[in-house]
Amino acid sequence: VEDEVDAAALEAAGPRVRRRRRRSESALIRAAAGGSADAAAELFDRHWDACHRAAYWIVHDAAAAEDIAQESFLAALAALDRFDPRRPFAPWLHRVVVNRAIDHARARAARREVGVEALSLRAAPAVEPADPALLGALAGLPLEQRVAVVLRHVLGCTPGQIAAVLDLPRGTVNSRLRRGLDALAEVLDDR
Amino acid sequence: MTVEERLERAAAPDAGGARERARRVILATPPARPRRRRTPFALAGIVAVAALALTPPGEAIGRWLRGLVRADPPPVRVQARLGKLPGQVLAIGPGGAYVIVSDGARKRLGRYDGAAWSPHARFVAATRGPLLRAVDPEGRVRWSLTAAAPVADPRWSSEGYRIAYRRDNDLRVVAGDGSGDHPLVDGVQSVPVAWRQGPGHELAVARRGGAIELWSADAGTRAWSYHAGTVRTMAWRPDGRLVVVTDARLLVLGGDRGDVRRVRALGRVDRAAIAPAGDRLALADGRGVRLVSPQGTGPTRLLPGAPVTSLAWSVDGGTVLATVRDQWYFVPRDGRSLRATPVRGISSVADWCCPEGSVVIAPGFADAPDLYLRTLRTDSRCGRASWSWASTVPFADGPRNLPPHHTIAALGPGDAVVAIGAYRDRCGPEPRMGTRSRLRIGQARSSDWPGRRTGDPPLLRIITRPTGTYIADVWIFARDAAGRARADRILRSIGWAGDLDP
Repeated sequence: VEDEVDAAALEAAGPRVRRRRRRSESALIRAAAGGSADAAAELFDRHWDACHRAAYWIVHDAAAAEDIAQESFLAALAALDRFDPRRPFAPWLHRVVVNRAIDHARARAARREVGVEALSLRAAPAVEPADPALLGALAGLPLEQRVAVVLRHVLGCTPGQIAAVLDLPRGTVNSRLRRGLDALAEVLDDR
Repeated sequence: MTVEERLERAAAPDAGGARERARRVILATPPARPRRRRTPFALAGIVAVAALALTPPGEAIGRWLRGLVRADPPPVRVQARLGKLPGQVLAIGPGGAYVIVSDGARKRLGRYDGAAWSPHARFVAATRGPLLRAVDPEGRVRWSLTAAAPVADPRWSSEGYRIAYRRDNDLRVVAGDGSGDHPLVDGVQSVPVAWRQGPGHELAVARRGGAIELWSADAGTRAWSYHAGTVRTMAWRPDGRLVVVTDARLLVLGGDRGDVRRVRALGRVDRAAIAPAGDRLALADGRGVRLVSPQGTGPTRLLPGAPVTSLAWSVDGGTVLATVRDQWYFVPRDGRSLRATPVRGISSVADWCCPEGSVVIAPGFADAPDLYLRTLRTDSRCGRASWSWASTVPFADGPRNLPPHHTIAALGPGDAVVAIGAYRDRCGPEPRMGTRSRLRIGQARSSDWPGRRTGDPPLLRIITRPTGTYIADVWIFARDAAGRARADRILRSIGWAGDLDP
């Protein structure tokens, strides 16, 4: 039932509902840490989409993003018994996802891959991005700016939360966000 | 629409499919096991034992407990002081032989005084008195052979089909499954043999008169001989030459004729180890360890408490492990730093094998872009697994873009687990097989292949080899019969033909 409560309704309902949701999440975390598959499924349903989107917009590779998000979830579920359920789950999970995505993006930059021309046959077409122009513009950003922009505008983190996730001063986060958005706007020419 | 709004609305492609696949994968993975808590009963037991130990009859129990501790020291987390220990170390101490694995934990193999890894650390050849045994890393005995005299210095051939060992002063060879034990050469020095890579089961032997000889273990014939003197160690380089370290010299011999290609004076050498690529020597004298280039020069790292009792290189050639009694020193190949830790109950290191990401790889075949190699890292807690990106290598690229520890190698019979579509590691089923999309062929995904989504496997082969705590996979996507035949040819060339599914 709680899944159907959207953020605006939650905000309007006030502290009581928010507390209930937090309690519910901490109970879910305890249950999942105790081995409950239902609780793990509930956590997955709540958090998968944001993680997958964030991974995709950082690495620009649907298959890799799927893997990164999957592995982040598996790692997080495996580490739940060490997680303090009183703390919010999402920032912790986002940190795992974003760090893995950053590692992947750096590793890919250093790794040589054979081109698609090496294949005489491809059985399925490549997956088309939903917003190719945005994808291209985002891909042109330096990794650190891209990560800050994705955390802010895909995951909805505040600059303070981004600073905590990336272990950076808040001023650095703000400047990366500003530069990143300016560069995107320039490329996309929508301002 | 502003940039911010576009970002907030932007979805990943195939989000629904990805979500469904991920949901299946994640929910199929065994749930996390709750952390064990110490129960009141366990606490009560500890209190009771402590109280009992204070009473006169309890002293006997105390002695028994202390005896247990002395007989088999508790695990030592080497990792805690040294960071991650790459690979698995075979170590010998008064309590027997141990495997010290990558997370730093120690497992006792049994009461052995000598040991050597099989290729990829699937088995250990262990010796004690007249006993030669093949045991697995858990210490379970696969086969045992009792000789007429004490045995020592077992060494597996590079593909695992033969083991050479010394019985007194004679060299003998036995097949990897324990059969066919036979004498090869008499009057050898107390130096392990060096098996040559490639067919024919050839090995270099140091004879008592000072000769280095190349023998065929199967034919029983000698190919060449060169007088070297008192040999400390020898190893084959990837270019087919034999590196020999004597008590004072470095020799490089041609592999086919035994002609000398290089001689360098080294000064006093008490112990020596040759890096896997043959490009670095670790030499121990009375003061410490010298790390020497093929030109015969290099820095000396003084080790407190020397002399050194044993030396071993990591498989990637990046680090030398030197033991001085029960102190371990890790020295990087440039000799510029030193890390040390005491490891109680270990007096020497017998062998060091198989770093993380180790993978069996075949030579490059330009016409085979459809064979990929990758490793699967298994979590020691079981039930979790993650792929290692670093070893995902386009086969057509060959080993050029691999770090040096990715070597051409193959295993002996019985090592392979072959399956299509799913397989088991030692911890149970791997739940994500068939849902992974990471494997690439060029820029294409494995999910692009026909049958990949439907689970129809005729064009897909997965050959799985456990390599210590890791599992090396060869995924072969053969697009047609010709591709399949090509894959068969490649696998035969690296000695994996026996792994092929019927």
